[in-house]
Amino acid sequence: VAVEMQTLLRDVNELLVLSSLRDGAKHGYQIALDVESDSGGMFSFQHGTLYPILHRLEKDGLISGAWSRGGGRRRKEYTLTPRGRSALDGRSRTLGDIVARLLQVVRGAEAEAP
Amino acid sequence: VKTPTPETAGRLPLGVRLRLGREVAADLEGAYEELRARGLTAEQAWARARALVLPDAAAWTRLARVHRPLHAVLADRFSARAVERTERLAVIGVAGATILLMAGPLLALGPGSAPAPTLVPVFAAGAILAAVLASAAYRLLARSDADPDAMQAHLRATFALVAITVLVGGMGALADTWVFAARASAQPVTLPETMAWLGGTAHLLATALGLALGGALGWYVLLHAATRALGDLARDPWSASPPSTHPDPTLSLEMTS
Repeated sequence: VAVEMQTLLRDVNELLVLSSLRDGAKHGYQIALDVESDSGGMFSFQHGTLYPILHRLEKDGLISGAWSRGGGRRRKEYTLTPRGRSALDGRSRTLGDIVARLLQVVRGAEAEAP
Repeated sequence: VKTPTPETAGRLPLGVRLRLGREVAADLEGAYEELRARGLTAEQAWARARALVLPDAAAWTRLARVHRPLHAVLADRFSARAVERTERLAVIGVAGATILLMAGPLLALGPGSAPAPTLVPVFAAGAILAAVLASAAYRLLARSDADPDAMQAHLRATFALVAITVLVGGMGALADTWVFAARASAQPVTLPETMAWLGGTAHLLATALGLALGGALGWYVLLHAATRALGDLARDPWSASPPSTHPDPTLSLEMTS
C-alpha cells in the first residue's frame, strides 16, 4: 500500500491530538502544550495549526467540543468520543505497521551497505 | 485581546469565525497562564502563547476548508450567474408554492359562502412572509454568509409582515361586518346570506391568524437560529484587529530533533 507523505503527516497530527485526549478532556492550548512536552519537544503545533485538526476531528465525530466555564472565562474543552477512541486504536496500529516497515527497509538497506 | 485577521479568515462563515475567535482568545489566555505557571516571564509567556495559539494564514486556509458550507461546494460546480438565477427562482418558487398551498382553504369554503375580498391581500402578505423566511433560512443555514445586519432586516421584515397580515385580516373582517350591517339595516337579509357572511368572515380571520401564527413561529425559530449562528457580536475579538504579525507560516507538523 502506497503511503502518501501528506496523508501520513495529517494522520500523525490527528493521532497526536487523539492520544493527548485519551486520559481526559482538555482545552486546545493544553493539547498543544502537552503534545510538545510529552514528545520532548519533537512535535509541536505552532501558529494555530492545531485548530484545523481539532475542528476536522470534531466534524468527523472523533472528538466532541463543549464550552465550559472556568476561572471566570468560557473555554472550549475537547473530549474523545467512543468513535475517536476506536479510531485512535486503529490508527496507532496502522502507524506502528508503517514505522515497522520503514525500519525494516532502512535497516535492510543498512545491512546491505558495505 | 488584539489578534491578527488574515484575509483567509474572511472565507469562514461569520458564525464559525466568531466562535473560533472566542476559542482562540480563551486559549491564548489559558496558554499564557499555564506558561507563566511553568516559570516563564510575562513577556516570554505572552510571546510563546501567541506563537502557539494565533492561527497564521495557512491555518486559516485549512480552517476555511474544514468549515466550507455545503452550498459553496455545490456552487463551485456552476457559474455565479447560474447560482444567482437559481436562488431567485427558488425564492419565487417558495412564494408560488405558498400561494398554491393557501388556495386550499379557499376551496374548502362551504356551499354558498364566498371568499372575503380582503382575503387576497392577506394571502399576498402570507406569500411574502414565506419568501422572506425561506430566504433568511437559506442564507443562514445553507449559504452561511448571513451578516447581523441582513438577519436583523429579515427579522424586522418578518415581524412587520406578521403584523400586516393580522391587521389586514382584522380590518377586512371589520369592513365585511360593516358592509353586511349596512345592508341588513337597509333591507332584510336571508339566512343563507347571513351564513355566507359568517362563513366568509370567519374564514378570513382564521386564515389571517393562521398565517400570522406560522410567521411568528418562523420568526421565533429564525431568531434562535441567528443567535446560535452569529453569537454575541460584542465579544467578537476579530473586529478592528491589526494585520497578521506572523509572516512565517510553518508546517502543521513541526519536527525538531
